[in-house]
Amino acid sequence: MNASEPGDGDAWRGLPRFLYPDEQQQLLLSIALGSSRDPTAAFEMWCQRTDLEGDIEPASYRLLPLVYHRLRESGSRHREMARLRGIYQHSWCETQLHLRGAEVALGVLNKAGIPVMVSKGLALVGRYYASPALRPMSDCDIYIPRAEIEAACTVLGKAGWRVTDPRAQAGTRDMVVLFPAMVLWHDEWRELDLHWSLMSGLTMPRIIDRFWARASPHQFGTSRALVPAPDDLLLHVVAHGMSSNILPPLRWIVDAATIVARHGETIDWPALRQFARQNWAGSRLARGLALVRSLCDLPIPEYMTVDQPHLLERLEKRVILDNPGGTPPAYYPLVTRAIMLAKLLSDDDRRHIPRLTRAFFSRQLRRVFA
Amino acid sequence: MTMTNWLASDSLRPNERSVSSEEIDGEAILMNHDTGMYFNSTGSGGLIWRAISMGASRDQTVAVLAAHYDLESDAVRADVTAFIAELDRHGLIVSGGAAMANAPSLPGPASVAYAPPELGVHADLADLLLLDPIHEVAEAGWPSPNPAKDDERK
Repeated sequence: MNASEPGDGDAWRGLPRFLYPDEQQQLLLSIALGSSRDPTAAFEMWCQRTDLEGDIEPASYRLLPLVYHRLRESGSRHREMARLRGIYQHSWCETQLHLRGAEVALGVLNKAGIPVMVSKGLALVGRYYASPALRPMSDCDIYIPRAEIEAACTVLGKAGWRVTDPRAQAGTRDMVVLFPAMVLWHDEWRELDLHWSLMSGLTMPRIIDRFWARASPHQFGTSRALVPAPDDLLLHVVAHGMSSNILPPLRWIVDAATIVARHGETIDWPALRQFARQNWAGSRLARGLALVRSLCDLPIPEYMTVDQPHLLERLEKRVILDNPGGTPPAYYPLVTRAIMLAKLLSDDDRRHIPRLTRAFFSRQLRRVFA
Repeated sequence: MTMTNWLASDSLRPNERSVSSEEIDGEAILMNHDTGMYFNSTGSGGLIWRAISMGASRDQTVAVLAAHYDLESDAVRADVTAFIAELDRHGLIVSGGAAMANAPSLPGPASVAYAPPELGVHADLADLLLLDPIHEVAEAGWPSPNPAKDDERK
């Protein structure tokens, strides 16, 4: 399928706007993905419909360095090239700072002998993009084994990272079951997300266990970390991108396309599909890959885009993926808790359910009698 | 910051332990992580940085630059020497060990006239990053601030 210009790929039309790019964003994506026949004309159309003197929505803004790169490759002399070039340089500086902060944090964990893995931005920027400017990051995601959380917090604390995440008040034992990560802050290197499971909604240990088992070593300056296998990285990028967001996320579409462009011919697609379905990420993967496939010509098999949701996914899909508006329905928190409980029941973490239940009712009672 | 007395034949290279760099359309952008300073070259500075990235000595850099712009070596020697001294002053380069047998080759000949190399020095990167690259910059783009917007920023 060769959907060169925005609007060619209609597979995802009519679906909720807070998950899927609108027409303006499609214009930018067509340039960023290199699928536009005339990137200068597409960018001019985007400029005409965008108030550059106003505020550009953040997801589109983060694509502009890549848009500049594509325009430059095409020899464009668009009147906004100087401004785009400045955005590119600004992005280069910010990403360099994130990379240096990650290198320092990884070095601290390396020195303590704590296994460490990186995913998404950190795994992509140096290996899949020609320049750090092209893959802006707002934070650094670092993954450690669950058993190492306290040791990691101790050594990172000595190096200046403070735990600022209010979820940490729940205590490490509960936090690791209910949440995928916590936020640490360093005055110089800023935000670091310390993960022990993949992401919200995919917290089951068996998922991250597979990532650890199949990851390969990579050098980050003077530090080292594992990076997920390409198909695992693709699953992570798509599943994360297909999460509901206040703004339609765009960055992941380019990330996913970049991974597929490099590894699409060698990815074991049926195995990826099976793993995603077994772990209730099949629907997100299918819909995400359908979107990527509709926007650019990539070797994604058509059967990967067929959405056959698992029973639990149907509930998730109904509440999240099919929600027609940006405001979640009133029953959203209840459903997400039910989904979380069902996922706990499906995994080794079910042993924590009695303790978490007691803690929940204890909190409720304290509130009643407070 | 100390200055190093390079020999003209000493091989030079970027101080990779502390410095990140990239070349965009002939302009070098550099960041010294130790000092938190950001730099951008103008004129022929990008070509000089590229030669140094390839391990060229000062003499070799003079030679390739002169050849690139079809000039006599003496016409660019003082500029190259001053530019390398500026790079050194900011800890952006180190000795590269033994000099390369042959000078690196640069694309050429130049399609634009020779312009002396200059290094834009931005001392406070944290402050610089607060400069909005869309709304607060001059026509040349970030990191050149728009003087008319200075009052608004303050």
